[in-house]
Amino acid sequence: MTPQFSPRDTRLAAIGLNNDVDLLTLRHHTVVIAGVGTLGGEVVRHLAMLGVPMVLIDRGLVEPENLGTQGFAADQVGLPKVNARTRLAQQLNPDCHVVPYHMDIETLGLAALRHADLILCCLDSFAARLVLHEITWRLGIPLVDAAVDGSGERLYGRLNVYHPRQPETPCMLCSWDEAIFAQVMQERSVAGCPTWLEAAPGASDAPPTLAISSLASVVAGLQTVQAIRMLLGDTRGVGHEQIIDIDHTLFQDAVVRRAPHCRFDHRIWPLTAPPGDAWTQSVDDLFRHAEAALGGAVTLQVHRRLLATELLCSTCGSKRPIAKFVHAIPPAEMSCSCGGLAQPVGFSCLAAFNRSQADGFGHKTWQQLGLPADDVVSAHGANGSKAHFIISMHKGGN
Amino acid sequence: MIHDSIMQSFLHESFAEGRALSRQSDILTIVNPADEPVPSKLLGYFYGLPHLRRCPDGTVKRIAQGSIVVGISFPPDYLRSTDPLMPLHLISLLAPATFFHPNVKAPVLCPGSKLTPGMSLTELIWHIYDILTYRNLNTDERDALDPVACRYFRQHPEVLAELQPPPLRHRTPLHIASIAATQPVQEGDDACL
Repeated sequence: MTPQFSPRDTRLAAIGLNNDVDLLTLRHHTVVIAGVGTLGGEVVRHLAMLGVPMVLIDRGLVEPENLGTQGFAADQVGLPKVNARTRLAQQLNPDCHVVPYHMDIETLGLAALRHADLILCCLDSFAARLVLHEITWRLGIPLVDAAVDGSGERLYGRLNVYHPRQPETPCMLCSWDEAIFAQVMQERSVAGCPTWLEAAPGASDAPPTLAISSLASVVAGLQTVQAIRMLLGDTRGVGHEQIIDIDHTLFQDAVVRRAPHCRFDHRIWPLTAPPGDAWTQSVDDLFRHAEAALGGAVTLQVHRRLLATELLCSTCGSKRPIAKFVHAIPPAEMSCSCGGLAQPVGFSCLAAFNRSQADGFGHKTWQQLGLPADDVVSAHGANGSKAHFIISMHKGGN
Repeated sequence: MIHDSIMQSFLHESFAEGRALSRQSDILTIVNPADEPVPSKLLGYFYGLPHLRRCPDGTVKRIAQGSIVVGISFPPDYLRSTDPLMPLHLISLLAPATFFHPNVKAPVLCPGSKLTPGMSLTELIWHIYDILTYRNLNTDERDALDPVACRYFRQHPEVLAELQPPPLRHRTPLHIASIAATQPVQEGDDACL
């Protein structure tokens, strides 16, 4: 059946939209937009007009201070930003499929975005960028990363295109130096030592991005063009960094090379789904499955998560066992009977465990341990073999 | 523990650094507790450090020469971590639980805001040493783990001058630490009377 296009559908040869096939191609891809503030909001608008299906991720709510720069309506204050943007996108194009997720990118399981065809990073912090970068690289999904100067003092923007599946292309960390890594920790450092003793302090709230909306429009426009090109198979932007300096009316394009001493290993992880899901599959079940797959004893490792095995009360010194990922320990479980706070002992936390180390919790399901939805557990065999398993939160599996 | 090749290389160098620093020190021994070829968890035994401990009755006792055990546990993503609690999980004060310091509440030891992803083991040890010897302490309750200790040091500033810690990097012909390393550290050692 011939697809029916509405009069709004436009052929734009300048960005490779030459015919109906190109339009269909565009609309059969899913784009994830992480961050829908100053920059991301503009990208949502552009892609909505073209009817590109989108998934929006942002943890923020519309605040009064966003009204001057981020294009929200006054009656949207208090709404999750993703909901506000979804509403706008659907007003612009009722045929555009948009799914909002009001959540922190860091709570996402590694495989949660595995069905995306392209990921656009419009986040406002190095730390969140780093998390998203690792997710996209492990999944092998192209990433278009953009940023604007958020200090409000300069009209400055940046755009990078990464493609994990293109050999020898640089990753985000290839151009990071010690100063940026230090900035990541400073950006994330909790407000004073005492907050370390509070359960799940989380990341510090980033200040609002103070960038004029028109700067965001320029950078978002470039990001959208790159996104469309990537979706249509034009990868000319991969490995390039574009600097937009409106203060000096400069536009620069530079080629970025893979750094030999990059801290990232640039590996894409092929993912498989074992039987069951996080609610039914126990740690022991996965051990059995992995041992069968890899042919021998294995060690299981969870991406970016530490499993706490004991809590120590700093007031009375008492210890008690626990088996939960550190981020998932509920505050009630950290209360000690003496009135003090029991903290996970960092030295006893496990990032990886074999069968004997899992003796106390092997019977538990991943959901009981607090694994986030659609996270990945890697299995490493003694002979160097590896496998990466998606632990799906959807009952019944992948 | 399984690590990528970059992290393996870092851990290998770290352990070598730690061992080198141990050899140059009268007061430090670095131990690979699991005897892994590339250890991601290390124990740091500090010997002969004067320090303060809080007794069960709430009094503060000065220990002229005490043993302190610190655990260092490198997570697989240490080189590019974004976890704001990374320092908390990286360094643990394992013994004595009664160590008295504004920025310590065992097992949590707050080394300050200068910790960055990928910091070398040598730098970490120096940060830990500065805490254990009270060269780095914050008496402002808003940025401290033990408000009682904050008040104590504000009220008794002379205590800091009286604690004369030995240098980290100094080696005498008779190395006592190598003998002490074979003896387990017990909470009862140098305990409050």
